[in-house]
Amino acid sequence: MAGRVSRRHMLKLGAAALGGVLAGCTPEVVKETVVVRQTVEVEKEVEKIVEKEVTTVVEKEVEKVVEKVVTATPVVREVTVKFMIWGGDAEKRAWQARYDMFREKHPEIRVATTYPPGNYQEKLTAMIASGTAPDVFVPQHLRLDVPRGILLPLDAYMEADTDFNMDDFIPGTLDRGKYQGVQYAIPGGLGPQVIFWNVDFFKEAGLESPNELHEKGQWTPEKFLEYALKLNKKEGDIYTRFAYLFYGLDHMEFLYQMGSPTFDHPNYTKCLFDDKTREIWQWTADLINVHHISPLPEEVGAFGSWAGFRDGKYAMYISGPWNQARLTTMQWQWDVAWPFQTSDGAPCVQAGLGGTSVYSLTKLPWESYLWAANNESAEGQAVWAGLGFDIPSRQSLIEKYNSGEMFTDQKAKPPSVDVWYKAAAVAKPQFNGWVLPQTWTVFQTAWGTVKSGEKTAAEAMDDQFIKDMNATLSGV
Amino acid sequence: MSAVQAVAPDKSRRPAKTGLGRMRLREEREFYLFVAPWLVGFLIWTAGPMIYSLYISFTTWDVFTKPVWVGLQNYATLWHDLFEPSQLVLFSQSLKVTTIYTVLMVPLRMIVNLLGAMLLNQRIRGMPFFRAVFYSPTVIPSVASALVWTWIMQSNGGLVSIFLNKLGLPNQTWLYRSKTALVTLVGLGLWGFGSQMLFFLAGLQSIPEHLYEAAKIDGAGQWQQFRYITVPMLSPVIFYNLVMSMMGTFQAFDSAFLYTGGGPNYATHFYVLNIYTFGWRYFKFGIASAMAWVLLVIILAMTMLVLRSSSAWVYYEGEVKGR
Repeated sequence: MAGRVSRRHMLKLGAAALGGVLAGCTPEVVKETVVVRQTVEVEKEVEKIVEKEVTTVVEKEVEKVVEKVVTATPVVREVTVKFMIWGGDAEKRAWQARYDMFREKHPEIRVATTYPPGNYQEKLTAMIASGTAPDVFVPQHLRLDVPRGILLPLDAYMEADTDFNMDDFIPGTLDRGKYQGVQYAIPGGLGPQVIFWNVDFFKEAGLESPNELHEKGQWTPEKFLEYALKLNKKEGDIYTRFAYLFYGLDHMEFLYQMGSPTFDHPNYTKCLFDDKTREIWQWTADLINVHHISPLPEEVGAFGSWAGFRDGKYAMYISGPWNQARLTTMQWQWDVAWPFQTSDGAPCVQAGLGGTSVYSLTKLPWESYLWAANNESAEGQAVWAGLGFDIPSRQSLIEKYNSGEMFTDQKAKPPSVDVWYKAAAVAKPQFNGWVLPQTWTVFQTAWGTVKSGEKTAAEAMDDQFIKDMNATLSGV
Repeated sequence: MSAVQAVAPDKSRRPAKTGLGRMRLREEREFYLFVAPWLVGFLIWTAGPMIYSLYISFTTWDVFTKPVWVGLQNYATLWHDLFEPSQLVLFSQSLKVTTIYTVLMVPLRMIVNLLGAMLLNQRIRGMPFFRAVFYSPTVIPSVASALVWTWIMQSNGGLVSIFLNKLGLPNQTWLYRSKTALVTLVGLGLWGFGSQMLFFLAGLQSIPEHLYEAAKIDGAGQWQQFRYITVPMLSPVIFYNLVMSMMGTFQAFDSAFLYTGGGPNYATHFYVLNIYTFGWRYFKFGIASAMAWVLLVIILAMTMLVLRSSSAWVYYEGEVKGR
C-alpha cells in the first residue's frame, strides 16, 4: 500500500507542483525574496508529500520541478506611470521623444500620457477629488496645492537620484518649484517673453531690425508704435494684417517692459495700483482702440492667435520659446527680438509655474519621480529644446543651444537665437505665477473693460477694483 | 376616546387573504421592484448630492481638504453682496443678469414657439418634413451650434457683418460689448424651436374644430378666434411651458459659457455660470453650494407664484370655476 501511488496522491502532488510553478512564474512577482520564500514553502510542502506517499520515481519528478522553480529568474514587474499634460501635435511629438529616451533607461516603466482637450486644471481637480489623479501632472498653483496635501515633496528623491545633477541648473531656476523651501515640482526650461517678428514684412516696410534698435537703445515704446503703424495693412476699410498680437499674458509684458515694479508678494498693493500702472494700461489700450495696431477683442477670432502670425496676419507677436516649434512651416522668414522697453523696463517671464509634480498618494512615487526628473535632465531638456520648445535651464546646455547645434529641426531655430538667454537673464517673473485664480479674473476683467474701450484705466482701476483685488489677494 | 374609536381602522374590513389580496400584494411587490432602479438612482445621484450640498453650503470646502463648518456665513456673504456688490461673489450681478435674461427670454421663446407651432399646424403637403426641419435644431449639440454662431457673429468677416457691410453698415460687435451682449444671447437662444413647440402643436391639435366653426358662424375674425378660443384652450400648455421655461432659463449656462465666458465685464455672467466658476475655478464649494440652494428657493418661489396665479388665467376643459 505504501509503495503504491493512488490517483488522489497524484492529484495532491500535481496541485503542489503547479502551485510551485505558478508561484515562480506569476508576472506579479516583484522581488526576488518573495519568489524564493514562496518557492521554498512550496518545496517543503512538496517534500512532505513526497516523503509520506510518493514513490522514488515521482520524487525525481518533484525534484526537477522544484529545481526549476528555484533557479527561475525572477520576473521584473512592468509598471505604468500615469501622466497628464496639455499640448497639440508639436508637444505630443516632443513628449514622445522624451518618452523614447526614458524607456531606454527604464524599460520596466511605461508612461501612459493623457492630453485632455482643454480645461486641464478642471479635469485634474476632478480626478484628484475622485481619487483617480495621474501620478505626474502640472500643478495648478503651489500656493494652493501644497497646503491641500496633493503634492509629494521631492527633495529626498532628488538627493537619492545620482543621475539628477542639481548643480547643473542655472542658479535660482529650481526655486520656481519650491514652496516654503521644499521642492514640490521640477521646473521646466526658461520662458522669457520676446517678440516674434516677420523679417520679410519689416524689410518690405523698410524698417530696421528690432534687435539692432535694441543694441542702439532705440527700441522704445514710441519706436514700437511708429513701426507698428507702418506694419498695419488695410484693404479699403478692412484690416488684412495687424502689426501686433497680444498673446499669452495679454498686456502683462507691457507693464514690465515699461517699468512697472515686480508684482511679487507681499508688495502687490503698491505695485498694482499706482499711477504708473494706470498710465501703462491706458497706453496699451490705446494701441488697440485708438491706433488699432492690434485687433479689437471682437476681431481677434477672425485672425487667430499664433497661427495668425504663421499665416501672415500679424507682423509681430510676443511669446515664449515654445512657439518656435510651431513656426517651422511658415512661408516667411521669422526671427525673435528683444521686446521694446523703457530705460527702467525689463522683459517678462511667462513660464515658471512650477513644472511637473508627483501626486502625493501615488503608488509609484519613485517611478513617478523618475519620469518627472527625466524630463528635466540634461538629456530631457535637450530633446525638448531641440524641437524648438523651452530653452534649457541647465548650464551645460547653454552654449550648444546658442550655437544652434541643439536644434534637431533647424527650421525651429531663429537667426537671433541668443536673444532668449539674454532676455532671460534680466526678465521679471510673471504676475499670475503666484496670485489665486480669482485675483487673476478680477484683474483681467478690469483690463478687459479698458481694452474694449468701455472704461478708461482710471475708471477701471477704481476703489472697488482695488478693494476686490486686495480681498482676493489676501485669499478671501 | 370616542374620536379615536371613530377613526380606528375596521380590521374586519381588511382584505382577506383571498386570491384578490394576494394579487394586490404581488402587484405591490412588483411596483417596488420596477420602481427600485429609479429610486436607487435618485437617492444616490440626486437626493444624496443635494443633501450633501446643503451641508457643504454651511462650510468652506475646496474639495481637497475637509470641510470646515462656518454656519450661515456663506449665506450672510450672499446677503451682503445684494447691498454692496463686488467681484468677490458676484451674487447680485449674476442674479441681475439672469433675471433680465429670464424676463426677456421666457415670453419671447414662448411667442416664437407658439408661432412655429401655428405654422406647423397648417394643412399643407409635406408637413412631416417641415416639422422635422423645425425640430432639428433641438437635436444639434449646443457646442456645435455655438461654434457656428460664433463664426457667424464674428465682427471682422462674420456673416452678419458681411451682410451689414453690404447695406453700408459697419461691422457688428454685439456679442463683445457689455451693453449688447446679453440681448444678443437672447436672440441666439431663440434660434432653436424645441419641445415647447411640440407641446403647443399637440395643444393646438386638441382644440375641437367645432369651436372655431361656431365662432366663424358668429362672425369672429382670425384674431378673435385666436384671442377667445386658441389662447384659452391652450392655457394649460402655456402654463406648463411657462413653468418649465422659467425653471430652465434661470439655470441657463451653455450659451454664456460657450459664447462669451460670462463677459464682457460680467455682462453675461449667468447665475449657474457663477456657481460653476466659484466651484470649479476657485474651488469655493461652500459658497457655490449656498448659491445653488438660494437658486432652488428662488425657482421654488417663482413657481409657486405662477401656480397661485394659474387659477386666474388657466382654463381646463370641464372645469367649473368657483367650486
